[in-house]
Amino acid sequence: MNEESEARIARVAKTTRKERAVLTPPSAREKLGFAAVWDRVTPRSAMGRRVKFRAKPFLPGMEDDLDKEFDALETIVGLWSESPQIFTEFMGILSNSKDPFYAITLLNDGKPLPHAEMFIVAHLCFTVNRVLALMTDEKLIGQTAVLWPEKVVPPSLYEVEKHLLLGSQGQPTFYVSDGYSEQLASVRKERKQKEKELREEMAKEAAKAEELIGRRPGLREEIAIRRRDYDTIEKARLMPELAETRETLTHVHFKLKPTRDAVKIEREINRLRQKESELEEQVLIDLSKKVAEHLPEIQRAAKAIGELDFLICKAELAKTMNGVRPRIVRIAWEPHAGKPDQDGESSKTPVPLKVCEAVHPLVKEEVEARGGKYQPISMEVDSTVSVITGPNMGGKTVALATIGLCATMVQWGLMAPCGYIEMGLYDFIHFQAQEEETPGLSSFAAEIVSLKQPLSRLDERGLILLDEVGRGTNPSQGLSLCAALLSFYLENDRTSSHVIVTTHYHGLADMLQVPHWQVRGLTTDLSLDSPQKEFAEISDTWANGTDGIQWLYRHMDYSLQKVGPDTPTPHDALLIARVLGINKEIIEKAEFFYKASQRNGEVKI
Amino acid sequence: MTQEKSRACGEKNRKPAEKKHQDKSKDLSDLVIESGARSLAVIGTAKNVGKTVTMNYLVSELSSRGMTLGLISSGRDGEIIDVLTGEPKPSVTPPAGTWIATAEGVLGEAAMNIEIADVFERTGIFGRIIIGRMVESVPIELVGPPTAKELSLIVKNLLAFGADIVLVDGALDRKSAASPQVTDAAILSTGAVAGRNIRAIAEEMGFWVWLLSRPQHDDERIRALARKAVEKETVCLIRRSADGFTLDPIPYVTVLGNEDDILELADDAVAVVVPGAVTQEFVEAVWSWVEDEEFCVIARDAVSIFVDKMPGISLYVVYPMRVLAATVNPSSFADVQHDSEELVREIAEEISRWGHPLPVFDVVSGEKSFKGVSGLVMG
Repeated sequence: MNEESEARIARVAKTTRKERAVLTPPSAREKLGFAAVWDRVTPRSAMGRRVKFRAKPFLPGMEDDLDKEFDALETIVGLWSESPQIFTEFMGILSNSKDPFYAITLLNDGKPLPHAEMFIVAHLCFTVNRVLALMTDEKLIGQTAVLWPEKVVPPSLYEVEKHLLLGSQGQPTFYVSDGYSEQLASVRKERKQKEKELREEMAKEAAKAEELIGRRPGLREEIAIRRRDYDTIEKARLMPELAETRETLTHVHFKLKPTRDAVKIEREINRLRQKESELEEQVLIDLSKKVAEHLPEIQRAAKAIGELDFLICKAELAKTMNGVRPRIVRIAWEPHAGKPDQDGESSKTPVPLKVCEAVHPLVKEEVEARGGKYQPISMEVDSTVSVITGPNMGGKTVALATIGLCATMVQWGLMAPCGYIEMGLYDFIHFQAQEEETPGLSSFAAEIVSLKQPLSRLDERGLILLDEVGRGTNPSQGLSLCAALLSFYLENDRTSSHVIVTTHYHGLADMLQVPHWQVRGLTTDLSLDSPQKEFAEISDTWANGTDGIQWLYRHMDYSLQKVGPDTPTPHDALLIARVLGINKEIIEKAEFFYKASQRNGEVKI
Repeated sequence: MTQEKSRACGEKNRKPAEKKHQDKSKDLSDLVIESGARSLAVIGTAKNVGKTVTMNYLVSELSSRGMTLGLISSGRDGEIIDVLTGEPKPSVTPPAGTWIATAEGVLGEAAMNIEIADVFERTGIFGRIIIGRMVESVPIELVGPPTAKELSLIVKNLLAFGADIVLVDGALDRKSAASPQVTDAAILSTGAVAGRNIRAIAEEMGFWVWLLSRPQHDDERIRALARKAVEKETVCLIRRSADGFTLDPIPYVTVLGNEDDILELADDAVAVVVPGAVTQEFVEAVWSWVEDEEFCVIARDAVSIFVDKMPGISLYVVYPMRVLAATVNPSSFADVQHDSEELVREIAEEISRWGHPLPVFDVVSGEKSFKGVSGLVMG
């Protein structure tokens, strides 16, 4: 088996693996915000749109490919800030480019190209020339030799161009000109000569008609003579040069009658036209064959232009989102080499996930639109299971989505919107957000059904993001279920998967002895014991409770900090309910129940 | 305003015209060249009125004066057999050097004679639109894009490629070709098929010219507000305020189905600006609701007014259209043949009776009339 076929088998293996969903459940794409981010990658050319359409995520084992992709992306981003003008020009060229896909399909099938497709191939040559000229333009990119990423440099199509651009100057146009066939040229010349003869022949007739009607009629023109001009009509009827065509209420119509010679010449012209048409057909067939010889270059060129377009879009996205290149950590253990060792030793190579100053671009836009200041988050995941706790309205779910989105973007070859990111590639990313109502399933049932997906993929490396697992049932059983699930992962993880769970359950991190992260939370002196006056100040400006929300936005520190496993879960629910405007009596009663339950675990009214 | 009133206006307008007549030796192509228009729509008042005859006449006359033409249609046109009636129709035979835009699906053999210079990506029912230069003069069929936006883009492209003037063939009920967004000026075509007799044809034509010549409002302040209003793309009212007029946008995108609600809000307004279609129902509602004689309806342009008879209200536009001339075709496929001289004269009289005198031509017989046309019209 040679190298090429081995590589091919490896490629096939990769493609079959890709068929398993990378983002689960299907709603995760939407909920992480990845769908909206991916929609912002909008290639300008049909070739670029094709490349985007085929883009697949990078999976474990493809680290080298991904690094190459980021090398290319980094080069583009760098060049862009150095010589922005070149990219303005690229964008213009790409927007004006034509879609060569149909032409390529025809060439592939060995069919001749019709005129429009010939033009499109000629236009591709033109586009390639302009792109290549820009890539090497010393005035634009400076004296330093630039190494453009290999995949965006199209091969020169000079060999194709030289066939297609006969007779067109500078601009790409296509016409079966005389230069393509000597025979065609001579037939055309002959036909034109005959046409000239015909005109001369008919001009004699037209001159006679001119004497009669006072102006020279066109060759195929109908001459209308008013009925009351009896003399003229009679004369016209007597002229051998004119033929009567029709009569109406008011006019009699005539046409120039071709002479016998003219008829002969016309017949000759028709014969020549037919011949000409056949020869032109033949030119197209021969030309298509010549073009088809260079099909691989044409395909490569179209691909390269598409890749350039797609990379420019990714670079644009990176610029608008302040994206950084991730550090991709290789996973020593190859999860698909076969069953992992039963003793689990060789598989436990921990690969940490580090994100610093990560931003969820969509949430950031929303926060800034309402005049708030967005707070990035940082987190270092070095254990199979991590727990995030925090107050209500503290952004736990957003933190989870931010980490998930950054990782997803990296896997799809996009720069991640954060200050620093280090990760190993995952086989799948599971984001279990709070599901909307599913008909026929309670929220608890929907959650359990959804959990089966990551649990069925234990031999794959996953990033499993769980938002408040078990919240849909009674707290004690919910906590037990959650704890059991996490400890199952602690015991059974052989792939260095990461499970991050947000929870309100007290003591979960302590119970499992896993890292515990907490949202810093409310930064205020306000407590339930604060005098009514202070709440009244907030409530004075209330309108439908939205000012309470504004107050929370201002007083919440959304950043994450690592705390000890036994650090208590924040108990700010009552305070937040109070700020949001629930009646004072209800809050007081709730506080009474809460304190009683803390003392003896039971509540009696 | 009633028809009587407008006729009275026409009488008034005719007087100064008698003093200063247009040079009568001029023909249609002179008018077009003098107008300085870079794009010209040829609009038919009905199918088979001889619009293509006018097109062909302009093509041969203008190119014989050394102009490079650009040709495009706002629908399907130029077919050898009319697709609607099955009657023979003249096709367009542009001279070599002419820039054309048409769908690839209708090019056929003619493709051999065109140097292709651009292909548009969007595919219509007849395939992609192709821009090219006629290498040799052969008959071709013109099929253009349906929307004013695309049409306007292609007109710009044809000019950029080197056409001196672009002629846009407006198809049946596709007046959008004449929208000031697309073309600088328009020529209106009518013919024997447009009415039972000369009287009916002339009246119909008078109405069309009246409609397409709707002017801007007299008051500069109202003009400025109306311009702002059509950009907002919502129906707006213009009310009188202490220091002039104010614009009051109301939450309707269209007048369709909202006639009464809009007019209820309009109680003391002086004008309603409609960015979309102005319908017969709407102008009728305005006529019966509004008592204030000053109250007027302002449309974006004349092609967005869809009325079939003269409304009894004042109608203005934000972007006025320049109608250069009218052409008539005295014969129809049904072998009706009117007297060219009489038809031209009647139409010219009727048009100036409606208050907008225009030169009228029969491009086949060479008959023409400049009745009521003053030199000022050409400015």
